[in-house]
Amino acid sequence: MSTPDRAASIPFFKITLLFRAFWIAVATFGLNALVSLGTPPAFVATAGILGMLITSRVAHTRLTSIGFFVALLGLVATNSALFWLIHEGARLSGATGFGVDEFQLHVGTCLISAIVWSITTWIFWRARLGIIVETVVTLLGGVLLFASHRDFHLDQPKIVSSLAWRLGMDHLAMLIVVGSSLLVLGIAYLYCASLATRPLAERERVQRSTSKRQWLLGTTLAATVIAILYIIQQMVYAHFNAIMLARVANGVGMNSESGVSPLSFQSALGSTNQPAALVRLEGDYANNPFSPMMYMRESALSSFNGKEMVFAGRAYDSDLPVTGSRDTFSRQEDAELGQRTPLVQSVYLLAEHDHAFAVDYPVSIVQLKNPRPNRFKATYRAYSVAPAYSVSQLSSTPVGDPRWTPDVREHYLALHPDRRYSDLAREVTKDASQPIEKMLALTNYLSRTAIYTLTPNHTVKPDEDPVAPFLFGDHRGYCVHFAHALVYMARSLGIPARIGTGYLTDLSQAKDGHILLRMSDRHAWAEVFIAGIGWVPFDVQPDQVESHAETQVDSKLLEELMGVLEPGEEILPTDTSKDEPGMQDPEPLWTPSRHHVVGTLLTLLTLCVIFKILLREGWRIAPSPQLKLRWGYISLASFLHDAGLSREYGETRSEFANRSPRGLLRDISELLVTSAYSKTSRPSSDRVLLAIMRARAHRTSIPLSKRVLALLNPGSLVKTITGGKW
Amino acid sequence: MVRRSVRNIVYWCVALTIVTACHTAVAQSSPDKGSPKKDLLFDPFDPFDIGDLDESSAANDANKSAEELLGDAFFLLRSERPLDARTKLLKALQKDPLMYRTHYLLAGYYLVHVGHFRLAMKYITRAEELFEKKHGAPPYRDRLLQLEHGDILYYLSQIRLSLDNYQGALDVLDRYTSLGYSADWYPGARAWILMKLGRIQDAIKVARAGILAGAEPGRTLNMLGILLSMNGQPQEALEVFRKAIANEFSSGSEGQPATPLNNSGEVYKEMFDDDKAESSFLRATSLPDGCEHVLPSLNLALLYIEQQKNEAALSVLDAFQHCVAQFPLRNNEEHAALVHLARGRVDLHTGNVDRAIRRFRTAMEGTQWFGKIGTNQNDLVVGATISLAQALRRKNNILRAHLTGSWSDWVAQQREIASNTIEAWWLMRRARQILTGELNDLEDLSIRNTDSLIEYATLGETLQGLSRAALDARLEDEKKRDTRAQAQLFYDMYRAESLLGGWNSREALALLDKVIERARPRYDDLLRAHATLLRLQTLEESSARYRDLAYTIFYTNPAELRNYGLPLPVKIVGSSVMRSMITSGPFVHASSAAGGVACTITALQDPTSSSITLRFTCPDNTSKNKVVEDSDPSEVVNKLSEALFREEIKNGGNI
Repeated sequence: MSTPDRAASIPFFKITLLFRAFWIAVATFGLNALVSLGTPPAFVATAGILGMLITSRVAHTRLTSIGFFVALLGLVATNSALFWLIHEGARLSGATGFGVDEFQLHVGTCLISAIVWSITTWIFWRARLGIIVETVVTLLGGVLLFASHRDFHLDQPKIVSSLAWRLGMDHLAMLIVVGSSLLVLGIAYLYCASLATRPLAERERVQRSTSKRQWLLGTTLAATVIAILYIIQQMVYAHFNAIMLARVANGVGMNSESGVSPLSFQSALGSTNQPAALVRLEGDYANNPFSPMMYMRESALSSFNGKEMVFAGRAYDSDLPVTGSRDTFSRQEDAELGQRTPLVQSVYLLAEHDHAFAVDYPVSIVQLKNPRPNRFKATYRAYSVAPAYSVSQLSSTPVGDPRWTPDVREHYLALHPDRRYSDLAREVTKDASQPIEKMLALTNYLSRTAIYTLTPNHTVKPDEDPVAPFLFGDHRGYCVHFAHALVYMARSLGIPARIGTGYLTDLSQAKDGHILLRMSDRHAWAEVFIAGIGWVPFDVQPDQVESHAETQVDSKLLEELMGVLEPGEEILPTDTSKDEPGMQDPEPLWTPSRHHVVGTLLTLLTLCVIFKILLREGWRIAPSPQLKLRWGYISLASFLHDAGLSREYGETRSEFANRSPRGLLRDISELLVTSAYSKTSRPSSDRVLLAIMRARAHRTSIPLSKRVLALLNPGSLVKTITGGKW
Repeated sequence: MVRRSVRNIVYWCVALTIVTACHTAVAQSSPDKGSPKKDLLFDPFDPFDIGDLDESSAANDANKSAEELLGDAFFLLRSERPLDARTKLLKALQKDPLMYRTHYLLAGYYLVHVGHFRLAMKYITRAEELFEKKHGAPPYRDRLLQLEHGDILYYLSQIRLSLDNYQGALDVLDRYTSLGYSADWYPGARAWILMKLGRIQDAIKVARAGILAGAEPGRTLNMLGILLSMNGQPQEALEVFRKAIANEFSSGSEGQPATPLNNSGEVYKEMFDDDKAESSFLRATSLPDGCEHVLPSLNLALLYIEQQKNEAALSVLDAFQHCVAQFPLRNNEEHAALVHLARGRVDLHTGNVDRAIRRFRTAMEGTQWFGKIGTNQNDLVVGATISLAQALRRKNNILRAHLTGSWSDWVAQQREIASNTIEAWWLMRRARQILTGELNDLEDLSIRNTDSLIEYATLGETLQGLSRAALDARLEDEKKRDTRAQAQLFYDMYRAESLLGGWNSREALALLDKVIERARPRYDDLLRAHATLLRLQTLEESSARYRDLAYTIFYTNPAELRNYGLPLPVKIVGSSVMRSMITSGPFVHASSAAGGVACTITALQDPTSSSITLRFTCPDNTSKNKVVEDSDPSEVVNKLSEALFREEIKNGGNI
């Protein structure tokens, strides 16, 4: 048997190659999305597919593995020699450019791709364990791709997230869709590949009877499996969505009932770059006392439950906006609080928030029209009375609100029972006399000594103080530890304090007053009430940083979101500028539109229809009687296949013809056998035509329902594409 | 400077425009609504009339007409309150979407204040469309209409320029002149576009003509200086920059002398006149407008890095960042990536390789907005890519000298080395691809190319991967064309590095020795250090020359010795186990036959506490003396290695 025949005779050979080509393309384009290849990925993928195709053929010849690797080395050497000659030629001609080097680098990338895929393909076909190795590598690739999901960092696999973002889908849903699709494709590939590398298994499979009952059973089973998988997917989604929300939304307005805390001492507040909200400042905030940083308060923890700070309920913290992110709220400005400036912010939530947040204390929150409901969860505008003081000028201002009742004052001064807090506070503030000076001394002390880390890994029992291992231990912690420590120490000195939670953002990363808040901007800080000013943040900024969250704002994403907020077409039509060079939005990742999907499906359907018509009626255009006979037989056999009658493994054509309804294949089958084995007798065109027409006339003996089914059943197409024999 | 000029033009043209608009509004308003003075938003000739811009006016916006809001926005822009102005403009747009002046002002806002050019383009094309819809197609007979239309065209050309559509920008300027318009900004703008199109001679002619006509002399002189510098006329360029600086200083607070000062510094740097370059950059950074752009600070920092003044480099970057922090609405896109690149290089040369790697990765990921300066994204990408690849290679050398306490640590270390090796190889390859492709056939090979962000002293590491034939031919060509004596040393260095990888190492060694000998003290320290380290790699560790060169490096750039994987010859006093441990780290036993002075490591073991103390002493340089202690023998060696080969510069580590 010649080489191509030997390869082509392997069951599922072609479909295995098709799958491999698909995986090579996916891997190449995926890699290019993560690391710029420098060479168009289409070329690199094509080189890889060529390498795979050639090796698949060569692997079924008598070439030894040593010979194969020598051939590869020869290819590399030839490439180098060829380019050496070109370089020398260029040098002799006096050229001083690096055009050849540039071309060589592109060729090199393609060559690397071809060699890598050739080697894997060789191992796949030649080594008994090849398919296992490939399975392991595929699994490892999948694990590596999704590894960051172990902690539910759903923003990490950039391709999946980008796809979800482009299509306006939920990250987790997209992950399930992509994961399931890849899993299905992977299983289908491994199934085909295993049969292609173990041809005997295919034989066993085909020998099994395919009776009508079994077909029905199989279909029912498949439907049941799909239904079960769907239900499992839904359950998985529901389960992990809840975990993910708890994980990424750590402290994002959840669990706001009094007596609980949304903060965790074991994992830092959102440490990922996942977008949480877009905030647009509607006015300048020139006298921001924390410039370039800006605090956006969502809630506050002012009650001490004996172990940690928790929500106090509505009786206290009256400055907080008592509203959800989808409600309207308004109140009178506190006339007693000075040194403030009005600041309007429009907030477009990208992640669910139970509570609205705003700069300092908002006097009004109104709902905005959502410009893109599939992008923004909710939108509102907050009118804040933002701070405009300078902390350094407040050094001698008294703390606490003179309007507080003794009960409220006591609430904000509730002490931690551990005396070490007060001892340390007194020690640190021994040189300070005023409360604000004391707060600054405490803040500076922690900034100097604390080590910022996302993973403090303190071992704390449920009934133990989670701050003590930080403050009296290794000083490793994050904002939650710092804020608690400051509040405990402040209160021990008689300074009314609480913990503010929300976002801390760097305005220098804003653009045109648009701020992209990420989960990594989630923050908790200590606050002290200063008379006539209000609650003022005192925040620790550690000199020593062991690990920190991602800091860079995705400016492309920010610009994309800014684009959503641009005036609509009725005010700013884009038609006038669309032909200007440089106006096209850079596509971070190509994603198919609905038109693409529908178009591709329609094209595939059309191709299938054309192919099926050719399969059934192709005999009419056959150029010779021999071909007409052969194609005529295929036409009828494929029709019977689609109608539910297939030739069994080991069954001769004559036996099958006898089994066919009314023996419709008998004449044509005889003619085919005669034509194949007789050297002299060649059937005439008329005889062939007569046999085909007679057989076609007998098709009416098949029930109409089966004939309709045969029209729609793609089985014959699949059998032909996968190299099945008629 | 371009930014400021554009802003000034915008303000004054718009002032004129708004006066007209307001007069129109007044004329159209009913006479019984009140006095004209009251209805007029403001009187630009009355210094006490600043319009109704108190804080409560925001609440009254609903009652204001689009023209009134436009007037408010104009004054807010003048008062450096861009966001308030933007809000007013958007409100005006809602009230009257067909008012072209609003679109025009918003285009200016997004061009000048935000750098969001695509949005600016949408507004300006809409402004032009609405303008023509209202006043018909040009030409216009009315002088005010001509002015307004000319301004729209000016914006359109500037936005196209910012979107890298140079020919489109030039076409707009051609339309501008064909309509008979003229303005002070025209020569400078046209010269800049011509320069971008590579038509340097034409640009010089236009700039010279502009200067003769007295058009915006500061900006045009600066432009001419840049053009002359690009045309290979550095002396003439410096003369022109001198005039530009004087002119900018004479403009008082409106002037921007930092720009021509920075440009003259760049020319001095190209001429290898490092003292004058430093002086120019220093003056530029000390001026109020010096922190508006990162360039003077970045140039100064990079100059210091070449001189191995790492502390000074960090101080410059700190000063810049502290200065820029005063502008809360300034987007760090303008400078963050460049600052990370410069800081990363300092970290790399001081042995803080992990931090350097982090910074280079951030620089590569960060988007740098370059506005209209000559440098582009590819210059940054290639600079950061090469530096990251170098950092990964240095990291591998450090890992190889790092002693591991367990097998699992050793396996993890080997895995990291393998992954770093592959990544560094790929990055170097990618850098060569960008250098030869996107960056116009390695145009940056001309040493100290102003636009380049490459570290020239170590560029040879990247060039090594190019074909020898092509590189040799190109280096020969550059050497012939480049008349700067000091640049020749760099070309020799690259040739030496290229030869080191091949068979002709004798010539390579001679070239390296030449570089070490002729590199200018104080100025080319990084080049000399790199050459010395490469020379060290070719020497026997037991030789006297190795010892001398190693100590030269150790006393000046200690981190680099470990970075390049070169052990320091030391005398070791201690048990045989400790001697073996120490020589497995970044040290080698100094041969007494080689002579010369070597520092000593004394290993002391305390039998009671089982702690090991390593005492490093140098007889001729006591500042290097160190003592470290640990119970684990491998860890104590690692600690000594860190203490000796990693420098931590205080107050320079903030990002």
